[in-house]
Amino acid sequence: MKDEVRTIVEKIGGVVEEVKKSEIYVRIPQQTVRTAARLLYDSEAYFKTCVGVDEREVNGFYTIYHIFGLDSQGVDIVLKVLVPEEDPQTSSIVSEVPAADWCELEIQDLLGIKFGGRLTKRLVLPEDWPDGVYPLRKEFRYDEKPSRVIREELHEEAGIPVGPYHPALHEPEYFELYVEGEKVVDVAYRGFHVHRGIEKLAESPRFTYKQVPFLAERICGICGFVHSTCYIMAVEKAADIETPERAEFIRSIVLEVERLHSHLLWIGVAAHLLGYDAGFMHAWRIREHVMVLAEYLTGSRKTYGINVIGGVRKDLNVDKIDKTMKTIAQVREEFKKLADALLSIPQIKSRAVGTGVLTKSEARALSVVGPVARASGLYRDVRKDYPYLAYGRVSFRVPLYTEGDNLARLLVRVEEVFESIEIVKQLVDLLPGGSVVVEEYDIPPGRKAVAAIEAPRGEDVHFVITGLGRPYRWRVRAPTYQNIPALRAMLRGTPLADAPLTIASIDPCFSCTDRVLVVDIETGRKSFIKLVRGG
Amino acid sequence: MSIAKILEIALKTGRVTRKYPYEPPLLTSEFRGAVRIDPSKCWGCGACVKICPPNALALRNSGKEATLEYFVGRCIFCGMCAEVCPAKAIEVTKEFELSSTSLENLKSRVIHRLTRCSSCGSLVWTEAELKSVVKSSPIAEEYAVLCPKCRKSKFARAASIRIGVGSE
Amino acid sequence: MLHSIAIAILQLALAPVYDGVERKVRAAIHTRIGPPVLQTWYDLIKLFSKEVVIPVGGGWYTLVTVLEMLTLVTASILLVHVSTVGLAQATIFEAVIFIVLTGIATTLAIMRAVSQNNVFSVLGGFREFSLVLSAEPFLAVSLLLLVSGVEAAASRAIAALILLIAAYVVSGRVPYDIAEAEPELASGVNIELAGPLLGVATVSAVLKKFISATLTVLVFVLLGGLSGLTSLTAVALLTPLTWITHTVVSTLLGRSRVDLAVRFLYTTLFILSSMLLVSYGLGV
Ligand code: SF4
Ligand code: SF4
Repeated sequence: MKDEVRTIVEKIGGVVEEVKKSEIYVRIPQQTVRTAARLLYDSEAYFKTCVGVDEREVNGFYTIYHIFGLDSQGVDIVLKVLVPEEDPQTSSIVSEVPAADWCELEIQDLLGIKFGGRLTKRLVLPEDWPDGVYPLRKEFRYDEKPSRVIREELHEEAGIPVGPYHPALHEPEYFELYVEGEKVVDVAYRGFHVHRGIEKLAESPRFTYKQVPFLAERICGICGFVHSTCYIMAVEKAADIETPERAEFIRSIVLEVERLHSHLLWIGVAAHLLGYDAGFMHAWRIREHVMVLAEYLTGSRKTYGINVIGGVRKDLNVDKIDKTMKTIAQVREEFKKLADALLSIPQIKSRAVGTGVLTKSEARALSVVGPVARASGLYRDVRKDYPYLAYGRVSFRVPLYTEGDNLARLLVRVEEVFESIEIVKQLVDLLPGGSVVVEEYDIPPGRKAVAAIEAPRGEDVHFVITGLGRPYRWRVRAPTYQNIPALRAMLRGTPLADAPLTIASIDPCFSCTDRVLVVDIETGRKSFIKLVRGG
Repeated sequence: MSIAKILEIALKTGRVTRKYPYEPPLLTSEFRGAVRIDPSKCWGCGACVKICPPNALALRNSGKEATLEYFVGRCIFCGMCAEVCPAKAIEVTKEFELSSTSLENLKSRVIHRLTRCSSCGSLVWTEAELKSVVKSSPIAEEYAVLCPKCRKSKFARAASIRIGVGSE
Repeated sequence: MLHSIAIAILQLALAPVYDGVERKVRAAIHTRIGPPVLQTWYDLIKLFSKEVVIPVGGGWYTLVTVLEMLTLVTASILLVHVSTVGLAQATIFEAVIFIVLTGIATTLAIMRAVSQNNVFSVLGGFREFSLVLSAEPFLAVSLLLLVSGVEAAASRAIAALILLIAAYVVSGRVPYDIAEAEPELASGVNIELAGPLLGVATVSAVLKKFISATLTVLVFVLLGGLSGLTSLTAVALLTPLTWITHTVVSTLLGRSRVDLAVRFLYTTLFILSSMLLVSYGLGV
């Protein structure tokens, strides 16, 4: 433990249960969790997520893990709080750490633990789910289907509906925009229409350690490789499996290839939202080179399927390296021209400047991640802060802007395309020899690990507790989960015409986030007057 | 004027639309499509069923026959089954134009006859597996046609006779 | 007049083809193949062969939509008629009728949009209204001035410029397609339309582009001093060309926002109009 970290840990108090290279587990009593959280937040720690685990058969308690990331030290501090079975409640940390809002409500819905000292509402489960049935408790079978409860409609819809199937967003989600004239004054969000319960599935007898990567890869249709890698990294960390260096390099290369395709996709969509369809078509045309490269490297354009515990299934050879270098050189050249053209379109500048602003302090309070954070002046990038896989071996720049508007987020992504290309180049140059997979390994039960990866949309966090033959608990926190709450701040005061762009500017991935369900409707909100009313 | 640059780019690039299906699709040499199971090689061991993440493969036992069913509608083209198959019976093809108007067309089956234990008559497993086991390991056929339980007792009896201890 | 109508029918039948060419050209700039040239015709045939869907609001709504199209058809025929003689020979009366017709058409369009029980449609209607206010008055003034036969070169040039800009706005292309902006308003003013009624609205949209292109050509014909048969030939040849030019311009730009668009148009057209006033007053 570094001295700085030790001082912080000592200040928190509690029992240090486990110290690993990049994780420190501290068990603290329920009464002090709030002060501990405050202390960590004041020590520049970001909030990553919280996890509720039914560990009754292990230690007789429900356990809550609050994961804090000390970015400056590259260390995660995990606060562990035990909640007794007979009195499942604990105190909330939302007042100190606003970013903990969603995950606490998620735990409440799925595990049935009440959080004192905060506003609570049903969040995760659909409205017709019966009360008192908690799917993440171990006694709940993964294929159980509780009977529906018909409830009265809780609210009436008002305002400008954007969703659930909005042409601009192509994913099921629902925003309700309250407008004055053409200015958005407030926002209600409701998502999670496509909750798939995969965390439960992965710990069910239906799955094994070896199969989960394929499930994880399907969390997201755009950056699935991030999820399979992150899951595998967590398992490998927990079980101390040494992956061959060459495999780590290949994973890093594929991760950057995935980022290229993801950013190019997003830039195209942003152009389309701004009515510049030529930008859309050309961005996707360039992206096609990346897709073909991905297929050549992995066997599939998307959901690459090459990740296994202990390494990767496909090695690189001379031809593949050659094709990689050629493709990224071509993408670089073509994208340079397109980016110049795109940024010279007057409407793009005038509509992206000053719209959807997220200030640095708001960004900090919500612990936002990825390009959203970097566009609001937070220097955060998992690749730099917690160098994983081969990222410690390459040098690259982290684009940083302070304006926090849609243009800043656009520019961050444009620059990251070039940085990714540089990273791939360096990785290919440094590619070590050797095998790409270890076949023999052993995953003892009861081990824990946090893994994080810089996905195209920001930090992706996976937390694993190992079990017998499969994870005992696997928690996924996708980047969008952390960024959606910031939309409310971003959309207020934005012209309605720029709302779709603003929503899209966090590069939302609703299906990643939708492993759980969120409703954000406060009864008080209805007092807002619908200023634009049809008919 | 840099906004007009896009015209220059378009002119240089030409047309990228492919007239698929009138033109062949662009597939790289690494592309993984649907899998094909060679019935003459498959033993019906079930290793592929165990690894298949989305349950696209299933092994059903009717008492007389064991059926390995591949439902391409669930397949995610990961190729894990081909990797684990001990008989090398699974081939990853480049087929991806799989849509069909009938569900049956999306299923393919390998049917195995089951053998029974020559001593007690309980199920052993597929004939194909039996044959390949006999072929690949030094096990006498008289043992191979027995179920594990009978095999054990027969072996114990034989051994005890050999070392001169009377059985029972 | 009869042969004007015959020519008008031919021209109007060609308008959807020009629209098809527009889609092809745009596709080419996007490096794509695009739909067949006759696609707009195919679309119309398909839409008109569907069952009639009357939106909530009933027959009145249908009437407004159809009336809007008919007004635009009349305005188009009038323009074609003018092109057989040349803009210089057109009477002030014809110009006024044309201005009134386009005015009625936009009023009807806005009426049908805001009368819908749909926020997207209503918002689209308001946007259309703001946009029309910031372009059509200038269009009217400059058109009247040109038809009245100003001789001074500077005045003519400025009036022509105003007309060209305003005519482009009328065409409803990017950056001024904000009334039906897909991403934010999901087709806005057209959101409640389906089947033959959407076909009617599609015809209206094509006609607006036609009027925009023809008007632009007429300005050049006037400046070139053409009349009679030469004028007619020039219009027939230049209309598709102008159409394509409009297409290329729209492909190079992004969509504006209602406040930005209005501000931009007002400042530009206002400055130009002031200049026009000064030059007209000075007689240059
Ligand atoms: S032999 Fe191969 S194909 Fe046949 S059941 Fe076993 S693993 Fe599957
Ligand atoms: S390719 Fe993958 S999904 Fe398809 S049958 Fe084989 S193991 Fe199952």
